Amino acid sequence: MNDTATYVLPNPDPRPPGEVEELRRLWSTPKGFRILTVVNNTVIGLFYIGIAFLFFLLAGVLALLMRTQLAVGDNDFISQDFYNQIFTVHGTTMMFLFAVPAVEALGVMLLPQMLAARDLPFPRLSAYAIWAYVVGGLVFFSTVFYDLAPRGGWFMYPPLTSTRFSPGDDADFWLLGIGFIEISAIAGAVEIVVGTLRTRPPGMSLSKMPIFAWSMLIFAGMIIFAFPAVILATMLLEIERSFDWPFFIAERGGDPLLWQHLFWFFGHPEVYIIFLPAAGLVSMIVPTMAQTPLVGYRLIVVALIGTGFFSFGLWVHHMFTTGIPALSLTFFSAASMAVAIPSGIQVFSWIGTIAASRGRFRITTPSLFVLGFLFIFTLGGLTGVMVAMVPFDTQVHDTYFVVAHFHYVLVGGMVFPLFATFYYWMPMVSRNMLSERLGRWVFWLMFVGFNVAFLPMHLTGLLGMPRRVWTYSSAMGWDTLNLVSTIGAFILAAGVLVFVVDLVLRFRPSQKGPRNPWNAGTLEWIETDVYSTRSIPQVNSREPLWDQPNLADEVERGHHYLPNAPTGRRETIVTSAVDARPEYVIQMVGNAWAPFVAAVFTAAFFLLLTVKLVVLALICAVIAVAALFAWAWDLDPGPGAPVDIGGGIKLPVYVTGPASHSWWAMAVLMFVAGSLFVSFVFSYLYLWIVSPEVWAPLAEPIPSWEWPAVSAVLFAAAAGCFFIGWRTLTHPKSRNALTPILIIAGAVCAGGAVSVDLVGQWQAGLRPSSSSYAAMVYMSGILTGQLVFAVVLMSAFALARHFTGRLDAVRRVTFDNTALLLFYSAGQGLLGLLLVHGFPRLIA
Amino acid sequence: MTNPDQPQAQDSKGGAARTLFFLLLGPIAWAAHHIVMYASHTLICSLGLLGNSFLTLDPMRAVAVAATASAVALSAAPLAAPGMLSRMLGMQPGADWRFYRNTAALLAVLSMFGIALNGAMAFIIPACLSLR
Repeated sequence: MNDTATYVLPNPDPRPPGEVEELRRLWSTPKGFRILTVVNNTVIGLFYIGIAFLFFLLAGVLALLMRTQLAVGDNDFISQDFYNQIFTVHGTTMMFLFAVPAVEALGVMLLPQMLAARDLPFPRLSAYAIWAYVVGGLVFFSTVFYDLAPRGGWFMYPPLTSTRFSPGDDADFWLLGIGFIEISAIAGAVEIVVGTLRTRPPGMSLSKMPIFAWSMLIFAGMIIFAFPAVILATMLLEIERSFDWPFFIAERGGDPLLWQHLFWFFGHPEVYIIFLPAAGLVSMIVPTMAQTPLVGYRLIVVALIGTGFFSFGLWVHHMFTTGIPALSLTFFSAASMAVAIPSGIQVFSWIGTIAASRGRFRITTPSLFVLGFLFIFTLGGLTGVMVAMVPFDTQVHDTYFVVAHFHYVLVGGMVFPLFATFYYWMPMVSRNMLSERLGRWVFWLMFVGFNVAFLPMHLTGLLGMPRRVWTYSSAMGWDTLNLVSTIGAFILAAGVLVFVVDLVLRFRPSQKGPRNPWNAGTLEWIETDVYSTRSIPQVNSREPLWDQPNLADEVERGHHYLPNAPTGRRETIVTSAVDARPEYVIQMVGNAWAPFVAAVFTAAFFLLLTVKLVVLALICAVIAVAALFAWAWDLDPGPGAPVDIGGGIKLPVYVTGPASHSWWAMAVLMFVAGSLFVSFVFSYLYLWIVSPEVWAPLAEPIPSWEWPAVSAVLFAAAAGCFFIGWRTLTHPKSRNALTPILIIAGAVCAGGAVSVDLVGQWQAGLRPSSSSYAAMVYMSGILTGQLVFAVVLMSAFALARHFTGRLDAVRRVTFDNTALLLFYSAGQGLLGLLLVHGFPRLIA
Repeated sequence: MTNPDQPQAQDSKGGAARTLFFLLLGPIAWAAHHIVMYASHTLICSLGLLGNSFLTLDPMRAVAVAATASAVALSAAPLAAPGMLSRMLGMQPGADWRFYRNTAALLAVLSMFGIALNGAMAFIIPACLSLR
């Protein structure tokens, strides 16, 4: 144990009066309808988790309808068509609108507190993400009320979801709605990656980071690499449905299995994307309840990273029965078994921590949910190893055994830890804790209900009952097991209902809840206000509140770093990514309408496109872009005098280049774009493997080499313009006449490069609907074209900054980000040219 | 910009990218191996490159040997020579060096297990065998 005698406080003197009031004023939460303008992750996170929980309840109601229909054989309680809609919306809602948003919400809500940051670095991005998700999610879910919901399952396999078999708008609601919500998830992931790496408190090196922060970092990294695959898949299917480009139509060289590859490259990591943060939460709760440090911290970090990687090598285990050669299946089978090891490491670590407490482990409601999680998730893991074996999976594929397996994994692995979280962290957001008495009822009803509902499904599946059936014949002998499952589902629902009652009775939003009621060791239990902690602590260990008993009081008295607001704006300290050394103070933006307006109109753009109201959709897009411009206008305040944060440390308040958080965000965004492009390259090569007979130059025309050469020169010229433009920014507060010319020239060249390539293909006689080859060629242009479109918009913004005197050698973030994206776009464009022009010639 | 009175960790000066690469070398090797094995198998079977004999070293097994040996060697670096690897990456290990070294080593062990398991499959299951 340390105390203040062993270290020097950064700000040892009593703080002057008025600092706290100033912080409250700067970070105040707007009242009434202006709450829509709130830009503060702690508040936004609460909305986020609330909406995610609402979707959990709504999807749960659909589950009860399904279970009622299946309670007895030959039932006609609901129609077959409606059943198809509700099982699709149930799965989609649980996966896309509840699970991922819920853990992302916990990330943006808890991380600023755990890292003792005033806020994460891009709170407006979080605000944009949540409002986009709310509007998009509610509109998507509401389709179930007016017979417009998709019917293709949460995985939306073509050809069932092609226009031939799903001719209405229902599949489009899924494709555009969910594709759009995935973009919202990526926005949240950017915030979490940069926030976790750059806004930790001084001294909190990676080796001292709370396990939840590790898990959120890996979660966000997985989103960055997994979600682009499904975004590409949704783009391809929507384009096929709208314009007849045959990516998945076998007669013209497409392949429905391409969808499965792309979907499951996202879909399997998705399971771990949901599970890892939940495991991170458990790793925070168990040591507190055991009152002992986590056993095997390093092993858990290894397990989280290992799981994150291995989870990307499992996607084909959803495709064991699709006819892929046996050896390929075994590669994925092996990876499926290997991933059990890191999962097992975590389970043993939690058990080891409980054992190390030597009987001090407290059985509270959060503990019960953690123990329930351990039991249920372990069973789900065991059946996971079973379905990882190809022969067994072949037998139970598409049966209720698989339904039982993934509910054990997902409900055990995510829902139980989430309820533990509700009970454990409630004092951070509510004046009252939830009721321990009701909490035990909630747990036991949910635990018993869950097992009664899903354990029999293993048997139902082994007896041969297929998934997704509307009803079944009583002669099959499945009635009793199904009735038991239905009873269990209603018991489970009763548990959730008791929780809702508890919530209504006890939850009162406030940041003045009981102070550290569990005697936890991590920073989120320091008293907070709307501005997070009063001062930002120096951290020397993994459980600072246990190791520095006076820390909470010191922080509250403002004796640690940045106890005030020296720039008169919202601020937090940015530290180095590895060792968390203070680097600069970030000036953050306040509440604004722009993120809300941008989100609503972005959602409107996508939804109006779904119902083919193109003109209205474009108007909404213009409004959304205008709102984004308004939002970004005050993001780059420019340099100011260095500020004293305490301890003799003076930090700059403005940084550009690779050290700045905006550079990091752009780098993360480029990983997203890169992942999208890699998915495209995989798709291109996959379709060639499947249908080489439709490939150029034998089956389709290919432009002469002059076209790609001109395009390549234009890409190089675009990059050159921005490179020289970079060098024209030489003096602070002075404008170089060449800068805007080079920006315009660069953007025009980039746009020209994409256009020349597409025109060349068209001139050669290639039509995108003629074959999968042709469709992929044009898709390459679309992927680069969308990046170039973003570069053009950003260039226009940079020009506006230039002409208003807000762009110079020092105040240059806008230009730097535009240049980075352009360099990336040019690189991707050149690779795209190499692929679509070089590969056909190579194979010829 | 430091406070000499604070018990701070020594800056590793390696930068985030280098430290992450050091930590993740094992899993990166596993991922590369997985991709190479799957892509090679797909190509070999699609293009009909497979030899007839089950006992001789066919193309798939040749790829498996080469890829597995390379991947194991690569992933073993943080385990066998962490100091040399960190110097090659330009890292100057600080107070948390032990954490990074041990974490990277454990990840390497985990990855080598995955690589070996994956590579072994090429010697157990005939290439291009279809189950239906």
